Amino acid sequence: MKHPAKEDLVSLLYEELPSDTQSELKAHLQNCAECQAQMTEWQQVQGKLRAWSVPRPASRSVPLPRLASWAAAALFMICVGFAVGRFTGPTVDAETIRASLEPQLRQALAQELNAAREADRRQVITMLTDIEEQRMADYTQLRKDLETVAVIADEKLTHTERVLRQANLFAQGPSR
Amino acid sequence: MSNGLLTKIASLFAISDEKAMWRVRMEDDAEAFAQLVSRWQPAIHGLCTRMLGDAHRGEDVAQEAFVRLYSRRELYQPSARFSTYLWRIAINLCYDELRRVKRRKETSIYNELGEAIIELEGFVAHDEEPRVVLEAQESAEQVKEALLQLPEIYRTVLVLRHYENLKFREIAEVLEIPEGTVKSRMTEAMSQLALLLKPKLSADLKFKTSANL
Repeated sequence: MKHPAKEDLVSLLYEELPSDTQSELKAHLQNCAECQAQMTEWQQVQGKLRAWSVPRPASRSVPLPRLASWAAAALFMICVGFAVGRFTGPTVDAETIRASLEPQLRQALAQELNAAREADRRQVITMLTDIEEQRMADYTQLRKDLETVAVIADEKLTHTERVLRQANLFAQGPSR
Repeated sequence: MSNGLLTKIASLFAISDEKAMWRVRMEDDAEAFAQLVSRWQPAIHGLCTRMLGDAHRGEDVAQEAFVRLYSRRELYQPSARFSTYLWRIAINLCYDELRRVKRRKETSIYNELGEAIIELEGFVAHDEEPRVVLEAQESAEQVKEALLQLPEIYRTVLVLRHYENLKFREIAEVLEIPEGTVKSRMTEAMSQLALLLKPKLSADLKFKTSANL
């Protein structure tokens, strides 16, 4: 029995074959245990791969609801402007309305972006400050501990010296 | 006339990637760039995290990809698809990072601590039973370890096809290799993963069989 290339099987697995080739391959799989076993094994791998999901990062751009509200506000103003112009003064063309609104919209979007960037920057600075404070606290504690060890060691040495001097005197005996 | 007006208004808020990138290149358009970042950040972050097997590095490299996209905006050609251009930037940065990590053999305690915290946060954030969450985390960890054992060229194709859902033809464009080579690498990746995940696959089969008795 002639087996299909493994590359064709993987194309079938990911549904990237033209429909006629797909039908041929599926017919082969029904009659070939070896190729069916290969497909089953790869399908199990696909199932396992789904176990690793990566949480999407928090978006740092302008949030969509804000954009949508700006879009809705812009649309409303354009419609109002259009209606007012239609019923009152001479007709104003769409390009003029768009041109007059565009700078304000751009400015508003730029302000939102700057605010988001500033918030991110402040958060990073706060984190770095916390890390630095913790580092200083750890350093101070370490220094205190080392000083304590030094004092205790000094006391022990002094005591030992005294004991040795006394032992030496005893060893020499009383002088006549 | 009103239809044309509405179309023009809509075009302000939903331009194609290629048009947005063109505006970034020719006019330094910050809003257009922000839209591109907003649209593509999740996908690029997913690619980088799976290529590097590390959420922190993945996020850093993903951000670096957008920095590079902006700093080299003059190199963008309008005839090229934007997605192909961006994927290529991100993949090259992932390869650079993998080489750097291999050279340094970096295992900072802060990385391990950071990952442990993330895993713990993931554990407590779920509403499901702790046992279920733990099993899911173990499965994810096994998959991650298996993927990291794949050679980079196979891992790239697998991540782009399976997780980012690019067609083989698109992957061939991104990697500038023939489509047949992409399929061969994918075949090899799947076969190697089947071996690497085999004890877990067999264990699952045994568990399901005994559960049915």
